[in-house]
Amino acid sequence: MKNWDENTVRHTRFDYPLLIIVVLLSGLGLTMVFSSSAVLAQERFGDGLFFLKKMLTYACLGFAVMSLIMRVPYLYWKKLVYPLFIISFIFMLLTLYSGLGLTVSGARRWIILGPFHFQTSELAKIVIILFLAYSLERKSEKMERFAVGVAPNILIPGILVLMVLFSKDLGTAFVMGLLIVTMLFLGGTSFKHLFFLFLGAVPMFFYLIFQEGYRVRRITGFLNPWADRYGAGFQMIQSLLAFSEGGILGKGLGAGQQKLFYLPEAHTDFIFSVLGEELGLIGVIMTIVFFLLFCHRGIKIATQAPDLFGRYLGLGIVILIGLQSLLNMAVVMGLLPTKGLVLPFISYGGSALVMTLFSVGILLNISMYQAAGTPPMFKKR
Amino acid sequence: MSVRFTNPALERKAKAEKRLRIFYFGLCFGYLIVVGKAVTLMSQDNQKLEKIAMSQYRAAIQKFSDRSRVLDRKGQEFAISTPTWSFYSDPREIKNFSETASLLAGVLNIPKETLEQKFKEKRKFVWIKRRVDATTMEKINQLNLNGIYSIKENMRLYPHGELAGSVMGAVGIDSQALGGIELAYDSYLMLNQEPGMYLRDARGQLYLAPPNLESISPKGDVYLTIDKNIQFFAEEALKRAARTYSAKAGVALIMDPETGDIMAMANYPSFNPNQFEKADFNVWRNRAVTDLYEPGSTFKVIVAAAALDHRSIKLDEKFNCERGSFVLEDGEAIHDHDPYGLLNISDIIKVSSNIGIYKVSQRLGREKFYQTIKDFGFGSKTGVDFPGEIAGILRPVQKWRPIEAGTISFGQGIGVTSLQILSAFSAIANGGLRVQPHLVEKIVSKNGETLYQKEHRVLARPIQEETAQILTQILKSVVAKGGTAPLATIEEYPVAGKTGTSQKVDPKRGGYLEGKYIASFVGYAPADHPKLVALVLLDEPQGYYYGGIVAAPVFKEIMLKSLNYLGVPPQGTSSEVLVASKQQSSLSHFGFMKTTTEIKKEGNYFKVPDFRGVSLRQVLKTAGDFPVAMEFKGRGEAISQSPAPGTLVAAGSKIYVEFKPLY
Repeated sequence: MKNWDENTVRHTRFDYPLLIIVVLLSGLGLTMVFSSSAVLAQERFGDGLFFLKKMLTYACLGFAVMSLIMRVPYLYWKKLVYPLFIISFIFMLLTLYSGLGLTVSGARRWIILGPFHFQTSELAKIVIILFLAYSLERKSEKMERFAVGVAPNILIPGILVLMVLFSKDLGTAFVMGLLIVTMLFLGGTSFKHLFFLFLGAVPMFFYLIFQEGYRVRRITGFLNPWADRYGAGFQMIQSLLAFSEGGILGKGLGAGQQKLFYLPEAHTDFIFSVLGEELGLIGVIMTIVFFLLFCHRGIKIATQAPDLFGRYLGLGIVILIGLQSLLNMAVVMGLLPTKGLVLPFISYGGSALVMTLFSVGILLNISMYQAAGTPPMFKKR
Repeated sequence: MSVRFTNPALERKAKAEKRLRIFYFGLCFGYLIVVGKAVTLMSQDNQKLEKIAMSQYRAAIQKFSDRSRVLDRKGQEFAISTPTWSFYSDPREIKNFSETASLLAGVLNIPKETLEQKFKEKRKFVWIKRRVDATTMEKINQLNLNGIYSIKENMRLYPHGELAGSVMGAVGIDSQALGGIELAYDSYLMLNQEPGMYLRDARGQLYLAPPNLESISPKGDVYLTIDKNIQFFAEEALKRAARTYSAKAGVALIMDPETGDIMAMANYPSFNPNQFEKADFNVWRNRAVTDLYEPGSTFKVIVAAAALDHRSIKLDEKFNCERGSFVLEDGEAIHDHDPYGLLNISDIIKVSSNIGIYKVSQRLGREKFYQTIKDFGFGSKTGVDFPGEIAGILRPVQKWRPIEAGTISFGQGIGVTSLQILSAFSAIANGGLRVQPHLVEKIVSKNGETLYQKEHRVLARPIQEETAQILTQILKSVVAKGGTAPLATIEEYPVAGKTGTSQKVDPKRGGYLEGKYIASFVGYAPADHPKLVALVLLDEPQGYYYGGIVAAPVFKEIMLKSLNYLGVPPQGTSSEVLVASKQQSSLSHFGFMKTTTEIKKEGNYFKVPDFRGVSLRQVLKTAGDFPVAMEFKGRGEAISQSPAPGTLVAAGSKIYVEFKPLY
């Protein structure tokens, strides 16, 4: 710990409120996974608890990982940035081009690791955050220069984003792209450079959409779901129907009807619709408040961090979880086209939950260090 | 030129703070948009979405409907429910329309194109085939096709097929009653009347039943008064005769005159309710209650009954039958098929003389005639528990044309149903009491509770018992040698009855149709203690058309088989003669007849007389010199008694008689 200046860094307890929020969100997730998957699980596996049991196992694993990671001083991750980047790269390669890769409904996103199927893009997200936190700190004084401050920060994580694109996971690639841009923005990249980036990204984005027929259908299904009620617009309408049916108080936990095979992906991407139908507007607002509190707490932790690495690392994690939850909610409510993004903590999915809790572990560790005399957030100069 | 101090580190920090604030508000703004969308989506009704929800959750299929059984009086099943399987499809789940269609077409015997057409419908619930049997179901299930599902539906099955088919009626594919007893007692038979609003999941599987599967009204098995065997005798004999004479249609009815229980109600052509879709609607109807005809000569008995009961004529009074042709005041002539001279009422009926009965009706007078016609139940429904009964045509007496009383006397200018004629004759058989005809005996719920029990009801007393007895003797002569229906004679049982042959009325132009007749015979046996009254009617028989030739043999066959089946002891012709001669003496005493409530002593016991139909005053008179205790209930005429007539009781026993006011 030679880097620490004992005069400027306070060592404190980890941030309890954040942990409580995370536990609440995970509990809500487990409940909703059970409610939304029981009928499907009963039909497919003859065991209504099938998905709940698996999700419960992942939650236990995730919290174990979290409590381990929160004990690792976050500065150590600096040393692991490149090794982890290389591991992530190799994982992606294995996923895409080796027999270890697993293809599910046209998308090659998983790698088979013994008994587990691991979604490699989940690791890649964390690696991107680690890399950018590390890189932005190092180049904090040269951010005005495109070649030094911007280009490497786009090109190097861009390798992973590209590989995610190859696995036909546009949603995750989109989130990664937004994550990179947001972190660059917070890292001080000039507006001019960000605008150029935007100009470059738009045609690429359209190219990517028109490259795949199903992406076009998702867009048209989003723009006018009623035009093709039973085709492209079906999922969207069923999702809207779930919210509409839920009303203010909801139908009650377990009483939703949309999960009865009307709503595709009820326990994964569209779990928030089931939540809306069963817990109503009150449940929806409650969930949003939980996420908002998580972000608020996370930003507070990040801004109180004693160094820029901790700051960017914390902010990156908040951006990842905050952005992804926001995008998922916007999608299921018809504000954005369908992407195939899960709702952090809530949706069914082992890799996502474990890696989310992994990142929460890092965030909790950051919360144990505070710059002495850190000004309160948003204090006027 | 302005000069200022720079501190890059501080400026960077300030910039970072600013950007962080932008990010934070951006995030909050994003969540706020989501909340706003959630509020608009969830706090107000969206009709478009609501409509979709309704249509996709609710399956408006009236399935799971079940019906309770219909049985005959002995508990033989006439209508039951049996499980079948119906297949439907959710076309969205079918990957290859053509392949699925051709696989199904092979098993279901439906053209492949028809199936493909069904799959192309943009619905998630399309019937493929309803009501398939267990083996077909197995075959389809073995195909293991995507998007093809089955549900269990109950199907109505009539195990006896055509037997009593027109009485049963039929039920449609959703178990809804379409006619007959099924319709008349639908509220007891249909196990759920509410259209089944079941919730279903996206695959069309129904997963929730409404809280009340059973609707409020009680349900149970319907027991008919029909007896399977007697119904069979009637249908067989009717069918054979109808085919022999190439008749267009026919009716055979058998009833217990005392209780009004209809024990057979046969229609020709017969109707198989199992295949009601294939049946012509003409075949559906129960002609016994829905079809109108001119009764012809059978109606002469009503004239005789009225004239004798009103004492308008004497039994030995002779009427001039004008040697077969008689010109009325208005110039119209009436004819007999054989020339007769002077005939008394008995002979007029026996040979069925139109001229004779015309003169009797003139003596009787139209007012009295009309009253008796009405008392016999013509011009109004019998009230039998069957849907679609008609009242017939009887114009009010005030509107009768001068000769109308005359024409009605031989059954022209009046429209009746077979059941009305049967009911009128059963009144004569029952000592002058006309009782309510029934088709349903009782309705019993699953746990054995009787929900409905037919009620014995005396509807009217058109004639006195004495008159009925005289008429019986007269009607016996019809089947005797020299009468119009010797073919109806049964050796084992004395028969009383009357033939009818009427020309059919042209419904369009009025007048009569050349060569189109209705031949009928109605009667009862054993004549003096009738157990059954029966009617046989054949519509448009070819070749022979006289009731005595066409219908009488059918009557004989049905009556003989039924009486044997019921175990009625044969009485033989000898006893018939004996009874006849005994009755002959009472006939000659017409006017001062003794009551039948005479007490006979047999050893140390007393034989209980038949009080039924007798007035309270008369019963009291008898009770005076009867050494047993009498107990009465009600007033008017006796309708039931205990013990039954003919029972031997010891002195000091108790006899219970129930009375009922007639009108």
